[in-house]
Order: sequence, then C-alpha cells, then structure tokens
Amino acid sequence: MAGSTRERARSTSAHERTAPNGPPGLTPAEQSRFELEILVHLDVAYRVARRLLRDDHDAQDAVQDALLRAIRYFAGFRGTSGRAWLLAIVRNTCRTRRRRDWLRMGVEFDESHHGDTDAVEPPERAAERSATGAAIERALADVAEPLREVIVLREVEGLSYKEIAAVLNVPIGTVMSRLARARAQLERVLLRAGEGVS
Amino acid sequence: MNCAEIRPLLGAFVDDELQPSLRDAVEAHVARCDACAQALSRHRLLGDGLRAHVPRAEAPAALRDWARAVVRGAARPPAIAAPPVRRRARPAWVRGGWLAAGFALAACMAIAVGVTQQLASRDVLARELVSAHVRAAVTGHVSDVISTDQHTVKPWFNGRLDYSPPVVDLAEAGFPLEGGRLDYVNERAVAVLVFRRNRHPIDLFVWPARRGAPRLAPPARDGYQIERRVVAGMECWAVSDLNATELREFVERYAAHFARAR
Repeated sequence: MAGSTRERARSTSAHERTAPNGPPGLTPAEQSRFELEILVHLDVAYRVARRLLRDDHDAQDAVQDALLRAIRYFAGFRGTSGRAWLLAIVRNTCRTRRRRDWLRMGVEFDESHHGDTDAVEPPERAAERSATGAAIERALADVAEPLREVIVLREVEGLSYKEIAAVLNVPIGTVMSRLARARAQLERVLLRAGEGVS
Repeated sequence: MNCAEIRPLLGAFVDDELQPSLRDAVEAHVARCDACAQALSRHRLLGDGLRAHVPRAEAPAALRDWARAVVRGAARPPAIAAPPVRRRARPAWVRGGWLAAGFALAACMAIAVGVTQQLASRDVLARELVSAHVRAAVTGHVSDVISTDQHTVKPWFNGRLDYSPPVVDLAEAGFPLEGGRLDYVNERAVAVLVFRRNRHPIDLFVWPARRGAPRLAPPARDGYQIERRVVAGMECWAVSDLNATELREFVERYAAHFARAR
C-alpha cells in the first residue's frame, strides 16, 4: 500500500514536469547566468536534499522540482549567493515533501525511527569507513536536526554564516548559537568515544 | 579579554567570521592560554573530522543532463530512469494494532513528562535569553532600529512580527529607550526592546503570553539577572547585568506604565 501511494506521487510529479504549462523559458543571457550562478551548485543541492530525505531517488526528484522553481523565479534573484538561493529552494521543497509524506502515512515522521544515515550509503562503502568515521557519523546522527543541518552546511559544505542564515531563513545570531551548540555536543560525544577506545 | 569572553568567539574564529579586532584579540589570547588553545584545536579537529568522513556524493549524471537540458529550454528533457522499486520497510509498530496502544502509552507518559518539562523549559528559556543578550553585546548587534523615540521603535516591528510589543521610553525613570531588534528565541522571532541604566544595557524580550507558560521567574544565571512580567497580554523577560533591585524596578515601571494606560 505504501508502494502504491509512492508510485502515484512519482507519476504526479513526472506529469507536472512534462506539462505544457511548465516554467517559462529563460532568455539565452539568463540561461548562461543560471548555469554560472545556480547550476554549478547542483552537487551541493543534491547532497542537501539527500540528507533531508534520506533517499537517493526522492532527492533527485526534489532537486528536479527545486530547479524548475528556481528557473521560474530566476528573474527575481537579486542576491549575491546563488548557492544560498538555490539551497533555500531545495530545502523548502524537501520540507514540503516530507510534510506531505508525513500526512500520507498518518504517522509522525520521526527522525529516530526513519532510517539512519547508512540508508543513503551503499553497504560496501560503509564497510570501508574507519572507526573514526563511524564514530563521527553516530555522533552526528544523535544531534538534533536543526543543529546538524547548520554544522554540515558550515564544516562540510563550507557556507558562510550569511549564506546559512539565508538558506535557513533565520538571523545570523541563530546560526551562531546553533553552531556553538552543535560543536559542544559533538565534541563531548567524540571525546567520550575517544576515551572509550583508548 | 578573559577566557569567558574568548570562548564564545572561538567558533566564529575558526570559521573566519570575526571582525579583525576580535580576531587579533583571540589570537593573542590563545597564544598564552592553554585551555583556550585546546578548545580551539578541538573545534579544528571536529571540522577536519566532519570534512573527512561525512559522505559528499555528486549529483548523478542523469540529473545533471536533465538539468542542463531544462535550463536550455528543451521541450523534452532526457528522462531520468526510475529506480528499481525499493520500498522503505515500515517499522512493525506502524503496521500493527500496536499503534493505538503506543499512542495510549505516549499519552500517559506525556502527562508525567509535562510537569518536569515545564521546569526544564523554563531553564532552557532562561539560558537562551541570556545567550541572546550576551551574543548581542559580543557581536555589537544590539539594535536593528536605533531610536529613543517610542513612536519610531514601535512601528519598526510592524510587518516584522505578527504582534506589536508595547513600547515606552522610561528615560524619566532613568531607563532610557535605546532601540529595538529582532532576535530568535524559543524557536520563534521575538521583539527585543533595548534600554539602558547608566552603562548597563537591558534587553526586554517581548512575545505574546499563552496559557501554560512557566509561571516563576528563574534565578540569575552567570551574573545576569532575569525578571519576568506579563504586561498587556505579553510575556516580558528582562535580561541585564544590572543588579537585581534595579532590574526589578525597571520591569515594575514598565508594567506600571501600561497598567495606567489601560
């Protein structure tokens, strides 16, 4: 049953994508600007979607929807960071999807029950990872999502505070306090793990 | 600057987000303080660890091709093959009649937890308010709107919040209004009115009161005083390094003004 609702969701979005009332096209000048300022961030967009949805295919689907929206609203893009702008759209798309899935399942979407980070990684890769890697992943999985999101955007994706604030639509002060909390929690857990090993 | 002032800056220091004067202060401090130097290297190690171990997948080639085609306005962008049907296993407790039992159990626990949580949330809130106050002072971002005129400060919040905080200048009582800003506390944007007593800044956090909110004002934290009142249907929490007596006088005068107004 879960499979059938899922398939229906897929075919709807596929229909939207080929529908004639799709996004209005970009002018050639806009096309090259879009490629230079937005499309170069496709990889990070895909990773953000993957982390939020924990499924490769759902992530691809969400990125497609997000790009269509980005093309539609590109004329209104005035910011300095195309990366932050695209990621904000990707994140909103993913959150809308998650809420929709949540309603369909009728059960609260609970991070702790909804698969773990290994779900997005092929098992052979997981086996290669070192003990440190595993410890870091476990520690990260225990951090609350708003904190995890911020530390990953900063440390792994290298976004500035200003960009993170734009992606999450929160003040810079909030970015700073979440980062501080994420660091404190991760360092505490890893320190304890390190002591356990030695 | 001492360790207590340096520690909250270390994160912004590794992130290269500090203004030059503070960056120099941090550098000078960690050069002679082992404890802070260690805290700094923990931050750096954590960053290195995350970069080395958090998977950084690239977008699949099919997605990239599709995206390029769509940007160039292709009428029929290359299709992305659907993956083999792969269902995410639902946890057993979702499928079975266990669900109802689970909800009943959860309801019982919620009542038991609720009481403790109210106490805990009061402390969490106090901590958040104090950090917001300190953060504003440390980053120099104290006011978004700088004005001693209540008729400038109050309208500034219009459109930025879905409520309007009661604003009054208490200069006559020795607490001049200095401005206001938006801050983010308790998972929501809140109005902060900035007052001053001599050299001590006072942040007054204001948001709509609701039933079930913590009743008691928590004690001082880390040398900061906190006072709470409900004024004109708003939760008002004052945070300052001012002494307790004067901060109480401040909130009483603030509350009295609106009690009289009504």
